[in-house]
Amino acid sequence: MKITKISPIQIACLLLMAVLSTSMLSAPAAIFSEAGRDMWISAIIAPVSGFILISTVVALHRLFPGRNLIQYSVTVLGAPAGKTIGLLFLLNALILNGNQTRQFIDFVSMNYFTRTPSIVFTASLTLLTALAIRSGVEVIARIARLLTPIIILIILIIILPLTYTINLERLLPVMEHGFIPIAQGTLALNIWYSMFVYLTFFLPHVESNKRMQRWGWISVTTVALCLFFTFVYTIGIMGSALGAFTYPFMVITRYTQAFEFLAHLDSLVMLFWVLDVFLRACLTYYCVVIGFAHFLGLKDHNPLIFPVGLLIMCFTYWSFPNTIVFASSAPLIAVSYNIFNFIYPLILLAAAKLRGFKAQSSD
Amino acid sequence: MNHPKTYIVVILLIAILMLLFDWRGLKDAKTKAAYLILYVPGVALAILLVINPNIPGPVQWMQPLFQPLAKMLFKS
Repeated sequence: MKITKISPIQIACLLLMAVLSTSMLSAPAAIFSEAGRDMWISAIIAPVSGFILISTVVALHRLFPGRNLIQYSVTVLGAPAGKTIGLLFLLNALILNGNQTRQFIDFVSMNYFTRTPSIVFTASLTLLTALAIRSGVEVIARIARLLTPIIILIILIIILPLTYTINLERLLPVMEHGFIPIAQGTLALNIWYSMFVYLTFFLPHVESNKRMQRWGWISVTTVALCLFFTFVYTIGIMGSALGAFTYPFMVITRYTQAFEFLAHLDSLVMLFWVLDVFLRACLTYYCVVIGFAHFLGLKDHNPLIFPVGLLIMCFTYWSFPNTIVFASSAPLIAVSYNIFNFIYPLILLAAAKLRGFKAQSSD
Repeated sequence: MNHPKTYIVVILLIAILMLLFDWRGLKDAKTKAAYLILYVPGVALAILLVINPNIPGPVQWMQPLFQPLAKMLFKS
């Protein structure tokens, strides 16, 4: 089979968009409940884990060129343990997929389409993503490269006119309750930064490890900047009232007025969110499909796309009867993401180093 | 649930269409087995979720394992 090559910049864009999509809207409220008004400090510390994760995944790819996490976890840990943890990793990825679809449909049906049954959005998003993945990894990467400037522009249009209304005194007092809430906020932000582990499924297609590492770091930095400014703007505008809203970013965009005649920019948020969730779904859905194909020992992943899509649609509804139950399960899911997406690759790298695998490419 | 039977019929119809669409692409026995490993649980789960949407899911299974850790690490 021909191996398609994609450029590091495209993957960096894809990862950036994937992480930004859900974090821009739901992170402010989630991190505010942990770190209070110091959450912007969490936003400065949290990217460290993103840098560590990118370096770990690239280092693992240097040890096992052309292979991904599911494949080399068997090589490093042996067949029984590697297969079991690989399956758990894939289940975690399925939960992540279900979660993001759930967030998407909850957001859309709460704010825009209040009467449409949510299955319409789940089915259309999954079907669209399935068709994108069927076209191959190159297509996904190119869509990401194409849409990233548009999405960044939308974010700037939404956020820049608000600069006059922020009041930085709302950020004071700094570190009112000490460092522990900030550390909790940082761990909670790791829900999003741990997503960079999915780089491992794209690395076999990328020409250069070194350039990928650099672009990965740029991607992490951009996410950190976007989150930092989102946090400063949301607290600066709303203060402690932030805790009362599920989507503070959505609320502040309703304030946005540019040049006194451009109002109702919340429709732009819809545009931003739909494009972004589509890219995120492309990334995570593709990773689950590739993961299952390697887990079951197939060379071609195309036949598995629709069954995995069906599973994702089931995971969207499974055991979440309403938004409140869904929101209360967030700490559990955060622990699960931290374990499988962040700690597991670190353990894998340590085990590979201890067992004496040598780097096979100097690049 | 208003009409569980209608929903089940719709799900079965979609499942059959999916199988018809994909089956020609499945060449060897290994691919067929892998396809069915994902397809059968998916359809079964979809039907189960229509009959009873509140069956405990993976997040509930995590609870005994991760709840102490989650309580220690996070406030909410």
